[in-house]
This record gives sequence, structure tokens and C-alpha cells, in this order.
Amino acid sequence: MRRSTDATTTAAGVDLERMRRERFARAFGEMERREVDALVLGRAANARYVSDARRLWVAGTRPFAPGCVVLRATGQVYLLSATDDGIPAEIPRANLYCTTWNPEKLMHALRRIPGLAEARRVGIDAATPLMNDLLPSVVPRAELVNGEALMLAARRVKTRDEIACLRSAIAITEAALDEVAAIVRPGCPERHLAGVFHEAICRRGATIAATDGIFCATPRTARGGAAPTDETTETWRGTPPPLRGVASDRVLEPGDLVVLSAGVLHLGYEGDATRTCACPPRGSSGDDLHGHGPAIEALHHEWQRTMDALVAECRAGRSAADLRRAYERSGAPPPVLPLAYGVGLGVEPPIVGAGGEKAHEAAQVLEPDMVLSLQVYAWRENVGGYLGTIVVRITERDADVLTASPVRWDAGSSGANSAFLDS
Amino acid sequence: MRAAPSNDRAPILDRTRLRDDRGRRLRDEMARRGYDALLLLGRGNVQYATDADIPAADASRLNHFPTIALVLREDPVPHLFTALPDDGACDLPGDHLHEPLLPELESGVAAVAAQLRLLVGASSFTLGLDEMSAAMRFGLSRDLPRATIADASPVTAAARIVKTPDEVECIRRAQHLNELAMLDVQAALVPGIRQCDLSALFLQQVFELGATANYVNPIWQLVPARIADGPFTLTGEVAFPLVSTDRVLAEGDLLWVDTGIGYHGYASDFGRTWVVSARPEVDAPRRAQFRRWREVIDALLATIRPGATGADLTRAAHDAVGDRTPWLRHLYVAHGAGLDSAEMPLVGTDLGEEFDRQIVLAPGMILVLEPVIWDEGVGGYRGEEIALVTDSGYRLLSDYTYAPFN
Repeated sequence: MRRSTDATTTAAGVDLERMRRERFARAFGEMERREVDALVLGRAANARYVSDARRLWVAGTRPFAPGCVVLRATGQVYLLSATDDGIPAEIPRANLYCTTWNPEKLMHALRRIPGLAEARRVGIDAATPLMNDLLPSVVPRAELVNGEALMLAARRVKTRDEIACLRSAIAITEAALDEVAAIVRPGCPERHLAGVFHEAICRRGATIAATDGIFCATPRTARGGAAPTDETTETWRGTPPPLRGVASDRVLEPGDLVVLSAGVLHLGYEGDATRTCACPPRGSSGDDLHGHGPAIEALHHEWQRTMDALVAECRAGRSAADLRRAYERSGAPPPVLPLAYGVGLGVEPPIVGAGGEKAHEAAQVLEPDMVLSLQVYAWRENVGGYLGTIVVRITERDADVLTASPVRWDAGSSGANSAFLDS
Repeated sequence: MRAAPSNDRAPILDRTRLRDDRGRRLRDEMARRGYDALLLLGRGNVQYATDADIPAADASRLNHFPTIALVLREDPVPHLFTALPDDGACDLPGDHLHEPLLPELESGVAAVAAQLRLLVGASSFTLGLDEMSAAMRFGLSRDLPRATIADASPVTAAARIVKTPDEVECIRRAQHLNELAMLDVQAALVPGIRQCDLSALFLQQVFELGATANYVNPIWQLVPARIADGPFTLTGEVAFPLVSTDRVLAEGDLLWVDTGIGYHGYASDFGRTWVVSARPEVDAPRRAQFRRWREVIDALLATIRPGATGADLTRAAHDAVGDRTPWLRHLYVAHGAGLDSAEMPLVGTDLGEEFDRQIVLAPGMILVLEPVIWDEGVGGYRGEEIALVTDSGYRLLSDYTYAPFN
């Protein structure tokens, strides 16, 4: 009998063995270049990058704990794991050390890793005050350095297999969102949309959502329905109200612009996608846009213009700062969501438009085979908001769009909303 | 699509009171332990301090788009740094609601330090931190040379270990939603279904029912009859937890199920043993295992009351089954739950008996009991119950059938 459908453990066009080899070589190369003797990694994405260990996903950050050790002298990877389940055969059982609640036992296990105690430069990817006190007893002669910067440098440019993983993850999210878009109708609670999304990704083998997603009707006025006073209208028109990140009991109403934005992690890789649809009038097939047709079309046109400006900057040699400038030149108001961020094993730099990080943006120069998730949110008073995401791979000359249908879903699968948002 | 459970709108949960109670506890512990400020990055801690609804997400996303809380000992209102001010956080006064901080970036750490200097209003102070990015590790003491940087976890753990009535209500609702969803999943447990199909059904149901987050990749672990038939383990015990895949389940497969979802940040913890079949049957040895598991649970529950220690719990569990340890030794026999799905108190861990003796139960503590009964050749029974420590004993917050074992 067939024991697995390979939906969770493989992706089209991916050579997992080659991906592991090439990823490790990049991390190891950065260790050599920076003369780092050992890495002590706590972050799940870093541990996965060097080991490809498939470990239980839990939401949110965890305080730093040494979950993975890489030694330059021997090229060996050691993992904090009580079992070898999900751990590639290249990592022998002798390289596992057991999960424990006891920091002393953990330090003892680390001291037994051959060669770690002799390391002179050790990279750590995060910290806690407790580990700051304990780690020196494991690497008494070492200078500790920023191992997160090292790992991000290794992870920045993607291998062909990583790009295939990203494509696969994006495809899962897009297919799932198209199923959700097809059920957008008056009376549908937002949480129903979230439920359908999660069902659809798991059915396709991606059981981990990168986020619980945004499934919400966008506000049509700046302060949740209250009519703005004349005095403040101008300001508010320029500043979209925030999107709600937690799906609620709110029931969709005709004319709502509904944002469906989510991502999955497939083989660890993040696939982001977004659909924005108009909730059709009650009993309608969706062809009638409830009198909002031209306004929505104008909103979408604004979105397209701004997104085009971003995409045009996505090529080798441009910097993250160029992306932000392109956005600002488009005349759009300050972004309520980050404009762009790197994707790979989750979210990574460059981060564009999420706060006062101008120095970071200028230093982040795009290179071929970096992958960026771009998102633009356009909003108009009395209309609502349109959010769209496009994931691009940087090439020497332009942006290779990995998103299959960035603007609208395929008419054949969209049911009630098939007429919406042609530009 | 179906309606949310009617008790979802019970008036018992008062979020203003919830927020005020938590803030007071946090600041009391800061004062007791001599902390001037807490800068909190962990989702549970931020939610405890501010009541911001933080969408569940992968660690990498929260690292780069963090929601961060700053609690000052003398200020009853916390500061929140976020890109997505939600309904709850919008209640904060404007001078306490700030643009997001970016502690992953070196330039971001300088901004963190500047905000701390400004808002604490001093250069010499004791700062508690729960998590640090590498950039913070190497930059924060440089930018705050006169600050004393300390571990925030003694403060947060002490504040969070005893739950307020509103916190208990959130946990109860999370558990209730989790259990309701499981009724549908268990009904679908027939040969040919894949582990990921069970996740599909489960997650659809929990979001439909009103859960606000999923906190762990659902576990539908196949349990071998013999340890050697399963994956290798360093402990020599049965491997747990194992990551779900798209494995196709077969008639008679024994499953250990473990899931955790969120309700306004509070975690559920569901654990049961199931059998894959349209008409599941359980043989006598496995029924006997379940009865022993039930005896351990009963012994634990009978021990739970204010003043009892963690060591009393481990002894009661041992005594119920003779000389074997009726839990997985690299985990625990009981753990707390709240804004994190496994938090203090932890009982029966490898921190040892002395650690267990120092855990003294008090009203308002939550204990998730998770004994495991294992017999080579038979397999094992694992299940979880959630108990609230009350003034006189305990109250169960979990209420799910043991079918097909009873």
C-alpha cells in the first residue's frame, strides 16, 4: 500500500540532496571567509539551512538555545534532537545531543562536541541573558561574533532548488487562495475564509502557514465607519487605516473589498500570495460591482502603477533604498505594510518600508537569484483597500515573477468573483 | 460554515480587567526583583504586557516584523512598538503607541537604545530582556553602557504562573474550541486518510469555530508496538513528538494526537490516543494501558491542591503504576499553559527532584497532565488533561471523550 503521497516531503523540480549540499557549502564558505571556527545556531531557519532537519514547527520566536552546531575544522553538523526522525542521513546519530530542560546538561552536551572547546571565533545567531552567562564555559577561548549576519549572507542568494521550493510554496498558497476567493459572498464570516484557506493548504501537503494570514474586509473609512470631519478628511485620505491581522466574526457585506493574504512554509520555504476580491451584492453572480465598479477599477489602477514602479527596480545592482524611492515617487502614501522583504526559509532581509531603516536599505544591494516578496496596499476613502503581493526573483536585467497570477485569479476557478478587477 | 459555540460570548471574560490584572502583576514582580524596565520580544510576554493581538506566524517573520513591549516599573500603561496596531492596542494613549522597532538590524538596535534612554528617562537602569537578536547581543551594551542587562524571565514567569480568572476563561475557551474541532477530526479517522488531511480538517474547524491562531503543526503520530520499530531515540524511549507528513494511515494504526491553538493568545493543549478505523476496536492489553493511564491521572488530580509540590505530583504518578516512570523523561508529567503552550510550572523534567520540590501549587495555576503508559509489544497510551488549581483542589478545563478506549 502507498504510504505517502510525497506532497509534504518533495516539490517539483527539486533535488533535495543537491539542495542540502549547495546550501551547506554556502554556509561553510561564509565561515571560511569570515574565519569563524564554529556556529552555534538557535534559529530554526538557520538550523534547517545547514542541516535540512525537519523539526516540529511552533508559532513564534523562542528564546535562544543552542539547537545546532557547525564546526569548520571538521565540516560536521551537530543537532539538538532526541530522535533522528526527519534528520538527513548525512548527519550521523553520534552528532545528535538530547533535548533537555536543564541548561547545565545542555552545556555539558556542547562541551562533548569534538573541537568546539578549541574554537577561537564562534558565531551565534541570537542570545538571551542566560546564554550570555553560560556559553563562555563551552567556548572558553572564543570571541563571540554575529552568526546571524553570517547565515543571512549565506542564505541571501538562492540555489536553483531553493527557487523551485519557493515556486512550489507560492503555487500552493495561490491555489488555496483561489478556493477562498470563490466563496467570498455576503454573510460569510471572515473566520470562515481563514478556515477554508488552512484546509486547502493542508490538503495540498503544506501543513504550516507562514502566518495565520489576513482575511478581512478592508475598512472603507479611516476610523472604522465614523464619517471624518471636513477638517481632517484630507489627512485621512492620505493615510489608510490599518488592516486587521486576526480574522474575526465580522460578516462580509456587499461591496466590501476583502483582502486574502497568506503564506505557507513548504519544505521550510515561504510562499506568499494575496488576492483582493469585492464581495458581490446579495444573490448576484458577482458581475455587478454594486455601483463601485469605476472606483474599484481606479483603486486597482493605483495599485498596479505603484507595483509596476517597484517591480521595475527589481534587478541586480539596485538597492532596497531604490525600491523605497520608487514607491515614494509613485505618489502613494506612507506604506501601512512593509513594501518588500526577502523570502527563503521564511522572512529575511532586505526589509523595505517597515520603519526607519534607511541605512539598512542603502546597504542592501540586489543580486541575481535573491527573491523578494513585494506588497502594495492601495486604499481609498469610501471604497476600501486593495492588497496585492508579487514574488520576484532578481536577475541581471529584470524581475522574474514567481507569482503565477499576481493581479487576479483565473476566471475559471473564481466562481462568483470572476468579473472583478480587470485593469 | 457553522455558528460559534454559544458560550463564546459568555460575559465572564473582561478584557479590561484581564489587562489591568496582568499589568499589575508584572510591575509588582519588577518592583520585588529590582527591575526598572522590561523590553519584551516574545509573543506571550508582549501579549501579557499589552493585550495586543499578535497574529501567529513563523519565528522569522516575527523577528523581522516584531511587536515589542516596553514596561516601566512606575508606569501602569505599557509602551507598544508595532507596525499593525490592532483594536486592543489602539486603546493605548498615543504617546505609548510607537512605530515598530527593528532589533534585527544594527541601525535598529541603536533606535532601541535611544527609545529606552528616552522612555526610561535615565541612562543607568536595570533592564530585563526575554530574547535578544544577535545585533542586540553585540550592540545594546555598547549603546547603553550604564544599563544593567538582566534576564526578564524570572519576572515574567513569576507574574504569569498564577492565572487571573479572565486568563483561565481564555484557556478554557481555547481548549473547548480545540476539542470541538477534534470531534469532527476523529469522526474522519478512516483508513486511507493522510496525516495532512487530518491537519486540514482540524485547522478548518478551529478557525471556523473562532480560534484566533494555530500554535503548533498538528501532531498525528503513528505509534509503534515496539520502540525499535519507530525512529531511533537518544533516550531509548519511544520517539515523541514526530512531525506529521502526508503519510497515509492504515486500518488499526495507533495514533498519538497533540494539537494547540490560540484564543486571544492563550493556548490549548489537546492530547489523546486514537485508533485508525471506521469501527475502531481496542484489545485487552491496550484497554489495560488506558486504565493505568487513567489511574495516573486520578492520582495526579487527587494530589492537586494549594500547597502540594511538584515532587508530590511525581510521587503520586510513580505510586500509581509501581516502579516505572509513567511519562516521557525528556519531557514532563505536567506543565503549565497560558500564553505559551508549555510554561512554568514544569514538573517531572530533568531539572530534577529538588526543582520539583520547589514548585508549590497555588490557586490559579494551570497544570497540563500528560502521563504516558508504555509496554513493549503493545505500544502506548498518551493523553492530556488540563487542571486548574482551585482553593480546595482542582477543576478540569478539558473535557473530551477517551473513545475508543473506554
